[in-house]
Amino acid sequence: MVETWWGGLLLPPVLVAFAVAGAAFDSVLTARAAGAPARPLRSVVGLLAQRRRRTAAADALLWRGGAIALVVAAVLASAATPLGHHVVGDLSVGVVWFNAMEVVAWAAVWLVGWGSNSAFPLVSGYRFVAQGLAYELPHMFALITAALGAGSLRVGDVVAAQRDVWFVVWMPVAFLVYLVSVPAMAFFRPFDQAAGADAGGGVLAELSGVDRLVFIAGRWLLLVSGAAMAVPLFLGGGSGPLLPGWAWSVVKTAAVLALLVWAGRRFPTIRVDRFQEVAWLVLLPATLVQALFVSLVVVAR
Amino acid sequence: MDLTAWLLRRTPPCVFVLTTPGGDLVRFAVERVVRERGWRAADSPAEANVLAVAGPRTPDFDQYVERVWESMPGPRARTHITEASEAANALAEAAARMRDVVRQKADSPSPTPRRTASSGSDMEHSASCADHSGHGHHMSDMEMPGGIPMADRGEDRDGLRLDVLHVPLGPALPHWPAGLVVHTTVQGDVIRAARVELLAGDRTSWRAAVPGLVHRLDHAARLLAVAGWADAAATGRRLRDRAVDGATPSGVDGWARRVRRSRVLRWTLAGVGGHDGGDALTRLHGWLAGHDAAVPVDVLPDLLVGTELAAARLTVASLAEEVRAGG
Repeated sequence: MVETWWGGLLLPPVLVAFAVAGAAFDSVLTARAAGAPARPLRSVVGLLAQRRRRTAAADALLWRGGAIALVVAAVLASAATPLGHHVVGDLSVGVVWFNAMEVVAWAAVWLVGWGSNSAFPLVSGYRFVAQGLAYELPHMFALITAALGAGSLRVGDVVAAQRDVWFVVWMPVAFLVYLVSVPAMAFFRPFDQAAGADAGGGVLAELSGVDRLVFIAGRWLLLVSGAAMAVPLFLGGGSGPLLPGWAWSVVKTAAVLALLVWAGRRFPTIRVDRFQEVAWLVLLPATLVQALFVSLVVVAR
Repeated sequence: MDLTAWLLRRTPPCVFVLTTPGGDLVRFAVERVVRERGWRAADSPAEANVLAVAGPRTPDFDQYVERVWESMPGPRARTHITEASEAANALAEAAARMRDVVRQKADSPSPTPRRTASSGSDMEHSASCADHSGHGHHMSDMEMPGGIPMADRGEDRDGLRLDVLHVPLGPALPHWPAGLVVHTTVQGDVIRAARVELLAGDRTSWRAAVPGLVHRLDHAARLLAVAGWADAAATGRRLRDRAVDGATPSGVDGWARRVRRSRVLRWTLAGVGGHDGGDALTRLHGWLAGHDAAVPVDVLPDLLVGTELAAARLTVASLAEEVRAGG
């Protein structure tokens, strides 16, 4: 892995480009379902023109700070994710760093829900945090399984360990659980109850204008960060024929992102209270068995 | 170049639809225009820039319209549409006003509205009774944030002392029956008490004007929307709009089959709003199969008490209460 200082400058625009592409793809799918002309990204213009608003006795610092924290955490989460052979920082605990930044998003969602001093956002914020453990534990074990296979928490080592066989081949359960838990961590469809229609938009209900734009952008960036991390952990990083490493990283990330956006639309919102059972009784044991299997293979080698 | 004017001209309309009692036919027309032009329907007043009030004018509805209007940040425009045939023109005209930079600069709403957008109303914190010295000291001496009294506390179902909030649900909620208000008392996200209020208006006579298929498709689409399945709800509304024209739309069967087959949906709705041996899922399947299953609105408080807000929204969306309102 090559660490470069200008990688830090390049990271935010690359993530934003992915987020914009994902949002555009999503609005094309929306338009198709409604039988209407697609106008991707026009709502961004609308949010820029909209006034900001305040609610009575809002905690403006936490409210707006939460949205900004979401964006910052989403970008930082990708600091250890390589693009081909280039990475902003190949930390020795890169996998843990990624997960830690994702969890900052919980605090951000909670703060946004709390800060507006309004019933629906408040309820949506805390039900998200209270039930997040059901997402986080399977997610964490999926991450750990990849690290286990490589014998290192360094993302560069995880990529190097997949030179012969991609991890997705012999850790399919961990990969699937990872794909399910990424939209859950980003409270994206179908795990979007924190911002769901049942609560008038949930934590988003009181946000308008630039504040709303920042929050929605943060959510897309978090989803992109999760999709991008799937590539070095399970899909062999930048390896592939013909194209240079960075191009393969881009192609694979785009494929994972498109899959998440498309698949998320095919289901109704999954109620977190009902998901608990599946998370604790199916996903968590499945990831543990997968981790055990990987450990045995690593020991036997 | 004036950046604000440039942005405003390109701002896509985001419409918050507020249906008056008996205004559903007009709502269909409004939703159709919004969908076909590629506009967005707002989930809350905070994201909306056009307020469309759909249906006949009724006396006590204005207060709700004003509350929603107050919590829209601007640019904004509003219109009241009483006839389905007027919807396209009225919305186009409202969108033009919303994009009119001179008008929008003159209209600057108070930056701190008294109300919150999500319920279209204040959280009526129950401590307005705190002055009656139930706590041994006068709360009125204390400085309250934003002038809102502190929430009162009460035992919750687990024996904890939690804040009690009074949150009215409706009538300004998306995917919500026209003219229905449920006054709830919530602790956390659990409803402890509920009282149903039906706003005055002729809420039944319009129903005879369109075939039963239209009602069933609309009920199903509403329930799907609350359940968070936007694509299936959008398809349901497309079919509904074709059925309003009198045609029997092709594609109903395929759509119904897809909805029936969804395991996640079954998992989401099963056991919600159980009444008379049925639940939200069986009522949805009833609509898909062509039965006008309806539950009288009187039983609503019993169904809601003890549920959390998300399940309460699903329960209300699964009722089709207009059929037998009040009876």
